[in-house]
Amino acid sequence: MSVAPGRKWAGTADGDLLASAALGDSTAFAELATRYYAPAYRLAWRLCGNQTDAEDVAQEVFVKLWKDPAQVRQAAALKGWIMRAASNGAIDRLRRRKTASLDEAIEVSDAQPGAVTVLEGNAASARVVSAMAALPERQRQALALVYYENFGNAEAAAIMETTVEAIESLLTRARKSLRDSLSGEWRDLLDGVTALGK
Amino acid sequence: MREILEAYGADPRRWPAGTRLPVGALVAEVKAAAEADSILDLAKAPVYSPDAIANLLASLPSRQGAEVVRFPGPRSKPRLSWAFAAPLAASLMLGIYLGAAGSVGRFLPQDDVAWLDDVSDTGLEDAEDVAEENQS
Repeated sequence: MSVAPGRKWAGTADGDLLASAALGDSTAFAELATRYYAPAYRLAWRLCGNQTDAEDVAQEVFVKLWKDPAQVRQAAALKGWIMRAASNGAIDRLRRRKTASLDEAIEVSDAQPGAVTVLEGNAASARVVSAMAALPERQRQALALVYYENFGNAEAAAIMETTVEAIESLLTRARKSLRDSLSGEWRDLLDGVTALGK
Repeated sequence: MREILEAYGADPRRWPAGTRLPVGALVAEVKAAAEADSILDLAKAPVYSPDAIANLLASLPSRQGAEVVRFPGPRSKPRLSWAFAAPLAASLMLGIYLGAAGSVGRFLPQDDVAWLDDVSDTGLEDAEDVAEENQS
């Protein structure tokens, strides 16, 4: 099935898109995919550690949604549903593939501020990604949702099916663990941030 | 903290001595958290394949697939077979004819007729005789 969202759905509420998708309108579904594929993919990438698995997980989430849109009980919570499905899918996949290679785990953004800076930036980025990959699963999940995807702690708690207090605790431990594991290169990393113009 | 910053500025050396330590510690905490944030920012997720969404949409199964259950069509009315209906109709016509002709009794068993005659033999005619015998 080849469909493009087109512009007719731009600005349409998620609930209306979902309702149209439930009736078989693939262009409405394409608009939903355009809106939410990226966050689902990023979350899966932070949990799986590689691009191929992350794309597979994101795809599975949307195929599951297409097959049965009624799974989403409240249209307003669609993004949360997608993120929970992505999270669960990624964790399942991660558990099946405990031996994911580090090479895949350190794929980084292809922003191109300049050749030398790219190498330094990629190395710094790879180091941080590697340290994050060593965090316990739940800490990574909380960090990905709250820090990288800007979910509030209550939303993150709903997605992870836990309490706000547990989310705060996970975030505190995650940041402390990262600081500890990167303490030897903290200053270099900060210099790298400066060099990248951040 | 806001009052201190508004009154004395950002340089802790100008702050009142009693506030330097707690406010300074708080500022150091905020600075450390900001540094950690900027280091976390280094870990950007890679951009997904340019054709990832197109591939996803192309992979969607057709809605006419196994998930769709076909409803049964309207059920046709059961047809009365002539082989079944003709004897029923014939027996109905016979019953009407016999009823109209008043000849039903001919088809009833004679024993039943005799029993009907016996019904009139109730013994009431003998009641007076029996009473006289009893008095005598």
